[in-house]
Amino acid sequence: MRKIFTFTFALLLFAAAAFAAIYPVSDKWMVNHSEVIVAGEVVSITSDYEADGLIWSYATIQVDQVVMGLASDQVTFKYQGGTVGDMTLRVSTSPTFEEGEEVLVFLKSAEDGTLEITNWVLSKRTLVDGRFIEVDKPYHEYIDELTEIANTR
Amino acid sequence: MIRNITLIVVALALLTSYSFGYELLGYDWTYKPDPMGEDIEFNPNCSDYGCGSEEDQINALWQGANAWTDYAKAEFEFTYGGWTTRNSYTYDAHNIIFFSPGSSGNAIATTYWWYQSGGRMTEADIVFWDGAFSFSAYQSPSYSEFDVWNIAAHELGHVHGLGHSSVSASTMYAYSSQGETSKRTLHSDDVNGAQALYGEQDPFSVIIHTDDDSYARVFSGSGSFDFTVLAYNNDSYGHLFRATIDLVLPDGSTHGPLLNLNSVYIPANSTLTYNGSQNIPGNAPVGEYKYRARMRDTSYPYDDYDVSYFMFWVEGKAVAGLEEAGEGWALTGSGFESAEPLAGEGGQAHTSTAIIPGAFELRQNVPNPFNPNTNINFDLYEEANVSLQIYNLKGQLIKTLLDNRALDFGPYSIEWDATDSDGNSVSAGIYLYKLTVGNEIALKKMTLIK
Ligand SMILES: [Zn+2]
Repeated sequence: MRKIFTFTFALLLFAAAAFAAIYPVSDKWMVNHSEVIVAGEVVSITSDYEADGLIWSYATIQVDQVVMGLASDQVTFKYQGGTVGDMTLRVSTSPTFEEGEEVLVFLKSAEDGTLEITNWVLSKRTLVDGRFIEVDKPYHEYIDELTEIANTR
Repeated sequence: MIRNITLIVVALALLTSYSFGYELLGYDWTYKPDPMGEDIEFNPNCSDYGCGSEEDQINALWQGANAWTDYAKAEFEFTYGGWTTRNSYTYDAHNIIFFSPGSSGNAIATTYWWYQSGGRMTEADIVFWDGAFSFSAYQSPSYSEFDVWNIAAHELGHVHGLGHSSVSASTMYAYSSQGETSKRTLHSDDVNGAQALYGEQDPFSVIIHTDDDSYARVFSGSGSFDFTVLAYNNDSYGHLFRATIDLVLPDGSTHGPLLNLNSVYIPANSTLTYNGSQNIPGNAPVGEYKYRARMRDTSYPYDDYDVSYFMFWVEGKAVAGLEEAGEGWALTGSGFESAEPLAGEGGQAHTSTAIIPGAFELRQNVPNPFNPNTNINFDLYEEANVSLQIYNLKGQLIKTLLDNRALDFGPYSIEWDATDSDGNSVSAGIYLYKLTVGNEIALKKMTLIK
């Protein structure tokens, strides 16, 4: 019964999470276009206006698992959208993050040297009850799959 | 195990029928004064071959807006804010749509919403990622192109405040494919989403479109285009409307009406269609025109119930004087009904030979079948002496509900309680109701069940 609940819950979340007029790509594409892939808990988010006039958010992950790349205990990456004061920017193709969420993220270097998400909403996998809901796979199975792709690239 | 499978099936069925569908994001434009409308400015800077002319791009983007404004039947309208050269999705008090020469991951197009506390949306911008994908704004996309109208309809749904639907056939479904044009028009799930945000539109609405909306009408010299006007009455009674077509000239002034139908009658829950052809005179001023259909109250001051329009363009020759604009805008067509041109409103008012409502319209009783009460509804379009009588199938008179009564025009609903003229209940079966208006008669059947 618990399994069924998880399954339906996962479908619902995926429907809400797929947030884009996006041309979908495979995990292999995501791995090949990323420099860092990590899984862990979102422990903080800050947002501010940047020079491009947009609100950007910086999420910091307490890393449980490094799938690919060099990463320390905490990894911070940026993405478009967020709230500053009374103003919120939401971006249709961008994922959103919340403190306390367990996620896996695909990251690449931004021009300013910081890390940013690799490819919009496709850069985020959300862990619910031990499964990544976007791919509907258990934590370790999916980590192993990505690791194998990363090792053969 | 069997039990588990059953549960999964039930769960999926529930998801399919209830949980999946449109998504509200918690912000919208409802705080704005009525009538709600949001100005959108268009930058036709697509560099793809398939995007055709700048006018084709404006046309395709506007069709995407009209998908919602005309067809969602919600109390929200996009209004045409004209051309812009702006190309930034930053917060600048302009809602714009533009094409970026850059790419951004695998995004085809992105909507940037800005909103404040209370869910008050204050700006929305749409960017098409032209550096990454090829777009088509002229007629049909090839397999390698994304259709601008199709994508614009999706992104403008976001501008309403809608998120992604899980109904794969809906316009607000998250994923698009090349060559797709099916999302140029809305799915019922999209309509439900828009109405959930803004409420249902007044029951009277009008749509004007060309015989092929997938390319822009651009004229260099005289010409013509064909168009269709659809007038909707979603009320449960027939109504009279004034239907007009006029022009907004390049200088912003209004010309016309070119068509002025004084008393178009639309039966309850019905659509009327008018097909026309519009001549463009050779001396028309160069520039952008709005071709506009208006559905209005029949009485002064002619409040618009609804307005629908598309743009066309005159280009490529010496600029004619605006004073010449009044000449040569001949409109021919048929549909709706004939009407008298309004005196003094100018233009070349049109007279046609189409349908004028008759003296009356008798409707099916509601409910039907019934027990024991039902309502017999009819519309009377002139003052008349009216009789309404109930007969059984043998042709015997059961009861007279109206006996040569002098009635004014208007909708009427007369209740029958399934009793005869002595007040006794009649037996179950089929009965006829006969409406006599002057010397015209209409008959319909109804079924009494017990
Ligand atoms: Zn979208």
